[in-house]
Amino acid sequence: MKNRARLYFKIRIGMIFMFFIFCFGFIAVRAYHMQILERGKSLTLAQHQYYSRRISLAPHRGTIYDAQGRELAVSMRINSLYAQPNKIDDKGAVAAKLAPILGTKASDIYGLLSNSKSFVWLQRKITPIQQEQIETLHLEGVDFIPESKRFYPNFELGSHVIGFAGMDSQGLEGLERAYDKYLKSIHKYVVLERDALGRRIYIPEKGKGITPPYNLHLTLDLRVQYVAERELKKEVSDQKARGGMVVVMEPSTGKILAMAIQPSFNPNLFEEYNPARWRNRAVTDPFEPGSLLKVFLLAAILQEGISNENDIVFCENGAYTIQGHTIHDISPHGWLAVKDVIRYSSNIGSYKLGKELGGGIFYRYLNAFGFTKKTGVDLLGEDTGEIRPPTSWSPVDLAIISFGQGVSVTALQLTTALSCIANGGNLMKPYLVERVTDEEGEVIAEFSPQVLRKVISPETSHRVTSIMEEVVTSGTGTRGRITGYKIAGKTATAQKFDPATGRYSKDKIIASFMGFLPADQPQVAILVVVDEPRNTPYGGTTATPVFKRIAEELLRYMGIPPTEGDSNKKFTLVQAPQAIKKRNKRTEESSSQGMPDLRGLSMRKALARLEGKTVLIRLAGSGLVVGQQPKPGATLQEGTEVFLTFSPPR
Amino acid sequence: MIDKRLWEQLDGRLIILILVLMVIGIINLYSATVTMPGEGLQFYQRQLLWFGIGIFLSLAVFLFDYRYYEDFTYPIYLVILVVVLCVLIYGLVVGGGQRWIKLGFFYFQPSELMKIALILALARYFAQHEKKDGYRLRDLFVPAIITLVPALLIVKQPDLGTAMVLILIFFSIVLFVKIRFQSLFILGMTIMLATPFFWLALKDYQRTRIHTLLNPSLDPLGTGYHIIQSKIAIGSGGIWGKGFLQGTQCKLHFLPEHHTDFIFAVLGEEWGFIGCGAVLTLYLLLILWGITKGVRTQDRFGAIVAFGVTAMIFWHVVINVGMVLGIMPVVGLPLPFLSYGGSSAVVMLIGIGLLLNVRARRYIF
Repeated sequence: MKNRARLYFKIRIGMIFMFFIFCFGFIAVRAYHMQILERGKSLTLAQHQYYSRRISLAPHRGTIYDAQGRELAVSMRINSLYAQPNKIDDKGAVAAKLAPILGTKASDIYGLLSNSKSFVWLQRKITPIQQEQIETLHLEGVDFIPESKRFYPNFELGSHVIGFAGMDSQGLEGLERAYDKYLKSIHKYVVLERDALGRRIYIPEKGKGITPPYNLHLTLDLRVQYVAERELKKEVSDQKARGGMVVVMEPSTGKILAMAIQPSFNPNLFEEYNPARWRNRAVTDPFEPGSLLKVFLLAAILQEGISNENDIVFCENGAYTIQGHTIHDISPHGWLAVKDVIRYSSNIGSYKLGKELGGGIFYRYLNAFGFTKKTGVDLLGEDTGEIRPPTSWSPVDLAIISFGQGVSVTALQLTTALSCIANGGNLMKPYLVERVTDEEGEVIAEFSPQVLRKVISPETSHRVTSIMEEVVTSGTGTRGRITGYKIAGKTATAQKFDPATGRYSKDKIIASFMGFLPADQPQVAILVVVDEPRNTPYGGTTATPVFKRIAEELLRYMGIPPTEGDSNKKFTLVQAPQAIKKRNKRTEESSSQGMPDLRGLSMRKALARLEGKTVLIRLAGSGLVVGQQPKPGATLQEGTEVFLTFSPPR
Repeated sequence: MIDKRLWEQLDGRLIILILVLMVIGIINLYSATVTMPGEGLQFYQRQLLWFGIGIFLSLAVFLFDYRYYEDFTYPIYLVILVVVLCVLIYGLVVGGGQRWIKLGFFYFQPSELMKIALILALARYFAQHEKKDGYRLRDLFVPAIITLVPALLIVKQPDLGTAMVLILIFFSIVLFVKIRFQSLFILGMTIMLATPFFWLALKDYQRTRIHTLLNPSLDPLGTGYHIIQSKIAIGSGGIWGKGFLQGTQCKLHFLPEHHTDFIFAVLGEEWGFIGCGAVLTLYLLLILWGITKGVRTQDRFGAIVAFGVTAMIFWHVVINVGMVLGIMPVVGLPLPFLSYGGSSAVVMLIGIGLLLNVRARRYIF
C-alpha cells in the first residue's frame, strides 16, 4: 500500500516533470521560429521603425586641397528649417508667414504642415538672412537644426575632377565620390518624438567607429587648372566648338596637374545642369586620336629598329589605294624621311611604316603604352577605349589605325602615354590624390608615383622627342613655338566618325595637340583636344595655340628658364647695374626725367625703359610688372634702388 | 534551533543557479535602462539593493526550521489578506491598478507576498488533511476558498496575472497532493463550461488583450502594440543577437515596459536565440531541481511548500516568456530575477529561502 502510494507519487511527479519540459520546449521552439526562421521579417520591421523616426543630418565632410594647399571643396555649417506639424495650431498663418521668406507657395508649405508626421523638413540649408527673418517671427513648432553644406569656392574650376556631394553630404561625382570613405564622417542623426507624449530623444552616437572626416591633398594645381580652363574656354567659344579637354601632367611622376573639360558646370548648383555635363570626359569618353597615334607608331618603329629617322618612305604623292579604299594626305608628298612622315603627318607614310612594323607588334606597343586598359587613375567611371585585337585587322584596318582612325582612346590614356615618351620610357600610373590627412594634419595615406612598366628605351625616347621637336619648329605644329624653349609636340585633325552615315564626317572633326616641354627636361605634358571647332578646323590652328598659351603661362608660373635663343635675358638682368654704370657717363642728363610707369610691362620692356638711368635694379618674380618702387614720377637719382615686382598675368 | 550542520546542508547548486540568474538580470537590466533617466539611483542599482534585501530575508527564512512556520501559516495568510484588502481600498493608483502600498520610502506590492502566503496556507491544509486515496471535490472546498478569496481581491485591483498565478498554484498543488481521477475529470469539465462566464466577467481591456493575442494586427498601435513590438525586438535578435547595449528596439522606447514585464525582449534582441536558450535552460534547471530535489522529503508540509514554490517560479517563467513571445495574453507578470521590481525580487528570493530550508532539513525529524 505504502509502495503503491510511492509509485503513484512518482508517476505524478514524472508527469509534472514532462509537462514542465514540454512547456519549455514549446517556448524554445517558438523562440527558434521567431529569431531564426522569421528573423528577416522582424529586422525589416525594426529597421523601418528605427529609420522612420530617425532624421539624418548632413554630416561634415573633409576639405579638398590642391597641391599648394588651396581649398577646392569645403564644408560649411548651415541651418536647416524643420517643423513639427502637431505643435502648430494655425497652420495656414504659419505657411503664409513663411512663404515669402522661403520663396515658395504658401499652399506648398501648408501641405507640408498638414502632414501627419511629427517631423518635416521645410527647407534644407537656408541662408543666414532667411534664418534671421524666420527667427523674428517666433513661430511655435518651427525650428532649425545645424547641418553641413558643401561649398566649392572656385566654382567651375576643376569641377569635373572634384565632383560634388549631395544634400545628405554623400559624395556623388568625381573625387568626392571616389574618396567618399575618407571624406565623409559617420552619419549624424537625431531621433525626434518617439511617442504621443511628444518626448524628444537624442540618441548619442555610439562610441565605436566615430572618425572625423579626412582631408584630401591633390596633385592638381589650381593655378594650372585655371590657366588650362581659361584658355580652353576661350578657344571653345572662339571656335564655336562643341567642347574640349585639356590634361596637364607631370611626366616624371604621372601627377595630374590639371584636367579641364568644356563645357563645365558649377558644382555648387550641380542640379541645374544636365547630368551629361558632370562627366569627366577625359576619362569617360574615348575618341579617335587621329595623327597623335603616329607618335606611338614612330616610337615602336624606332624601338624595334625597323627603320631609323632618316630612312625614306615613298608617300605616293598624296593618294594610295588599298583594297579599293583610298587614303589621302592633306598635302601630297613624294619621298619622305621617316621623321618627316611625322613632321608633316603623312597618313600614307604612316601606313607604310605600320605595315613594315606589322599589326601584331604595333598592337603590342599600343598595349604597352596603356591604350587598351584603364590607366588606374583614382577617378570612377574610367573607360578603356577600344582597340580591336590585331588578328581581326584587315590591311585597311592596319592602314587607318596607323594614323589613328578606327581606334578610340581617352584623353588621360593619351597624356599618360605622352608622358611615357617624355620621361624616358616609363609608363606611369596617373594620379590625382597625393595625400590623405586627418584633422591634425597627420598623414593617413600617401600615394607616390608608380611605374607601371618600361615601354621604350631612353634612347628611343630621346629620338622620338627630337622628331616631335621638329614638328613644332618646322612641321604642322609651328604655332606651338615659344621663343627660348624647346618644345616637343604633335598635332592631329581627326575626322569624326558619323554613326548616322557610317562614314567619316567631312566637317566634324576633333582637333588636338599634345606636347611636352622643355623637350630636353620635360616638366609638363599637355594634351589639348577641341571637339568640332567650326572656324579653323585643324589641330595645327586651333588646339596648338591653346597649348602654346597654356605652356607660356606654365613656364612663367613654374619658373622654368629658357634654354636657347633669348636665354641670356636673365643674365642681362643680373648684369644690369654694371651695364648701367657703363652708361652713366654717357647719359648723365637723362636721370632727371624721373621714374617711368612700368606697371603692366614685361621684364624686357621694363628694363628697356630704365636704360640709361643710373639706378640699382632689384627684381622679384616673373611675368609682368605689378609693383614698382619708387612710384611713377618720382625723381630718380644716381644709385636709387628700384624694386620691381613681377607676377604672371591673369 | 540553528544547527552547525545546517550550513553543510545548504545546496550549492541551487545557490549558484540563482546567483547566475541574478547577475544576468542585473547586466540585462543595465542595458535595458541605460538610456532611461532615473532619479537618484539607476534602475540596476536599485535592483541590486532589492536583491540584497531579498537575500537577507531569504537567509532569515532559511535559518529557522520551516516546521516552526507551519503553526503560523494561517495568521500570516490572514495578515497579508488584510493588507491586500487595504491596498484595494487605500492603495495608490499606479498604471491603472491599485496594487501598491507605500512602506516608508518605497512601494511594495502585497499581492506578490500573497503567493508565498497561499503556498504556505495550502501546504498547511493539505498536510493536515491527508487523503490516502486522493482528494474528492468536496475535500477541495476549503483550499479553493483559501485561494479564491485573495484571487478575487487581486482581480479587483485589477491584476489578472497575479490572480492567475494564485489559481495555477492551487491547481498545481492539487495535482501534486493527488486528486481522484473522477474529481479531476469533473473539475476539468466544470472549468470548460465556466469559461464563457469567466469571459463575461473579464474587464474590457482584458478581453481585448486576448483578442489581440490571437490577432495583434487588429490594433497595432493600441493593445496589439506590445505584442508586435516585443516580437520585432526578439525576432530582430537572430541567432547571436545584436550584442550587449546594441539593441535598438528597446532602447529607442519602441517597446514600453521593457525593463519590467518585457525584459525578456531586451535579452532576446541583444543576446539572440543563444542568450534566450541559455537563460531558459537555467530556469529549467532551477525548476527541475525543485521537483526532483526540493520535494524529496519525508515531511508532507515541506514537500508541498517546495513544490508550491517551484510551481510559482515555473508559471511566472512560462507565462512571462510566453507573453513576450506572443503565445500568451499580455498579463503583467514579472520574469523572476530578470524583471525590474522589488516586490517580485524579494518574494522570489524568499521562495528560494524556503526551498533551501526544506532541502537542508530533509533528514531532520
